[in-house]
Amino acid sequence: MKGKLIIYLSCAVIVILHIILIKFMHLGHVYFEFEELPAFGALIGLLGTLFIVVVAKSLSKIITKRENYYD
Amino acid sequence: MTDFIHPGLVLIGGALILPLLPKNLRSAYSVAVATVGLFLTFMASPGFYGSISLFGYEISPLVRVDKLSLLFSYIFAFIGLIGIVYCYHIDDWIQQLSGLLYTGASIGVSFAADIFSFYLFWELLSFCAVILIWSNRTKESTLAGFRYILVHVAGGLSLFAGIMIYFYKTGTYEFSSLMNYTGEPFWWFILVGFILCASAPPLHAWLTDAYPAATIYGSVFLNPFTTKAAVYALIRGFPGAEVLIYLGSVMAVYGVIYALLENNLRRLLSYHIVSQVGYMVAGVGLGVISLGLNGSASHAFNHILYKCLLFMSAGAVIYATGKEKMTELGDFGRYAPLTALSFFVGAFSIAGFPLTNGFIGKAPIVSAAGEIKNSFAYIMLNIATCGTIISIICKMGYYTFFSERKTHYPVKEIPINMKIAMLTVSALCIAIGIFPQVFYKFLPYPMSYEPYTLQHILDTLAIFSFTGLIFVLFLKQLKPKPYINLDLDWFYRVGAKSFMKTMDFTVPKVEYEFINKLWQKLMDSVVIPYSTRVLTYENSILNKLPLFMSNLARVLSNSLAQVGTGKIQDYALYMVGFLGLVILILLLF
Repeated sequence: MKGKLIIYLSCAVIVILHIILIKFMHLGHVYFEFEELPAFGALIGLLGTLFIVVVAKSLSKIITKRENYYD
Repeated sequence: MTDFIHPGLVLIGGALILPLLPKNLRSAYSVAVATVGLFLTFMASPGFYGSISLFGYEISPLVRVDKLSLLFSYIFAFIGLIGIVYCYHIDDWIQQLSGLLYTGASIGVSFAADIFSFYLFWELLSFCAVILIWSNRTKESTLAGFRYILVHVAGGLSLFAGIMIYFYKTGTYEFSSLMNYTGEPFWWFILVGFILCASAPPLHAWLTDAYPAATIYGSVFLNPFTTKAAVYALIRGFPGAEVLIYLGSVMAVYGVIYALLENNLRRLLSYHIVSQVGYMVAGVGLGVISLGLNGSASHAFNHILYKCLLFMSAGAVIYATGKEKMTELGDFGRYAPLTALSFFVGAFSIAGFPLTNGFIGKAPIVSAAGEIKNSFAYIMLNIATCGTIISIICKMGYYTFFSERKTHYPVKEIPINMKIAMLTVSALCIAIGIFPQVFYKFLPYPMSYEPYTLQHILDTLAIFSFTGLIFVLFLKQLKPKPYINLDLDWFYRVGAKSFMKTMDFTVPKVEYEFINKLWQKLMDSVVIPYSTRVLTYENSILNKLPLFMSNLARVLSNSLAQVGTGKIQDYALYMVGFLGLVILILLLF
């Protein structure tokens, strides 16, 4: 329970920091235009992980087999 | 006093003496040899050394020591020593011998200036690897070893073909950048040989198949050398090859997707090798600017450290419990806090948390993708970071060291030498992460780069927290399950089996139905009648000749017998008569 709370809190803090420091105070340095989106790091963390989880889960329907498959 | 002693050859020569020593000296001696190797590597000063005359060709220089090869040989020699310390307590000289040989061969690869000695050391790598896999002495490891050697022979042949055509076409044997020959057949042959060893999909399945089958000490030796020697070869031979950007980016994501599904500790880590080497391969592709190549080199260096740390921690878990599946472990951190500590140092490093060497190692690669505006590589590499965090820190870390205990596994005490090896590497991972500029001085190309920018730190922390968030939300779905996942080795594992079955079914049938009948026809219509005719001819003509000869001989000897009566006075008469005849002839002429 405690771990979950820490993760929720840090997510919130990071997003706020990101928006204040990068978006409004322009302290960052970006390579691409899409990085200008508010809290881009958070966005890619969220969407990237979702992408990995969804792809892995749907792939596992085909590739996951019992352990003695090759015997 | 020679100005350069080849540390690789010293390691190889030193290793070969190992079996002659008494049992209780072997471990100490291996440590001594590995230490000497590390010392000689530190002593090596940049330059070109050695020459040899072979088949009328003068090959010179043989050894090239520059910043790139030095960086790789430092880490190879160092991790060889760590591996030897890690297996100090075992009584198996074969593993210590092949560990030392493996270290020596990879230093040889990084120092080789000509492509022939490079190839020899390169092949020695696969040889040592397969010995380490077989030393587990189980049926599974034997089969995995055979698959490993078959795949690597194929890759080695492709490389060899490329080298031969390269030598024939250009007349040089120097191993340097091949980018002037982009697109030529030998360029592709050599590239395929290299990326097979770098475990790039679709040529990667040998790695995740074989590494978990080795002993726990074997996999510590296996994970740094072959793939990182391939990264070295790519940096040397293919800097800025664009195909590598896309290959590497796909590799990085491919590896973590499989890692997320995996249940076996070491196979999960093996998929992370595929993923992390993907960063390096992409970095080589981004090597049109030196930031990319430096990124590859620095990531390879740091990757070897934390990956060995992870394999050593996983090895310690397996050593202590005898289990290597997450479905049978859990709550292990309670019994071995030091192992858990070093695992999490390694895990946070591989994920690239600030203040670890993973952060400063791969930062230049991602920045290089940004610098040359390759958004595909930039996004893929960031997604791969998310996958790394969720599969290694969250899944493997949580379900091995925390969560609830799933089976009643025994807990053995972990030997002190294993702990020393793990803690040394952990300390180094953190130290390099804190002082990146000290480390960046060793990189092959000059650059000024600061990894700790506000943007980069915030982005990384954001990725970490949101990946954690997803893990918490999907905790139930991501629970490890006792299954295996098919990879592209399916094609040759099942493929070979069904090939044999098809052969069993078709070849005898074709032989009985077709070839045998044809053969019978041939016999009946040609061979048998012809030989019958030969027989008759023989009977009618040839057989009569000896009969005639013997008849002739009998007639002759019969008539001779009438003269030969056997009486002495007859013979005296013949002699006197003959003598008289001779005298008469002499007198007449």
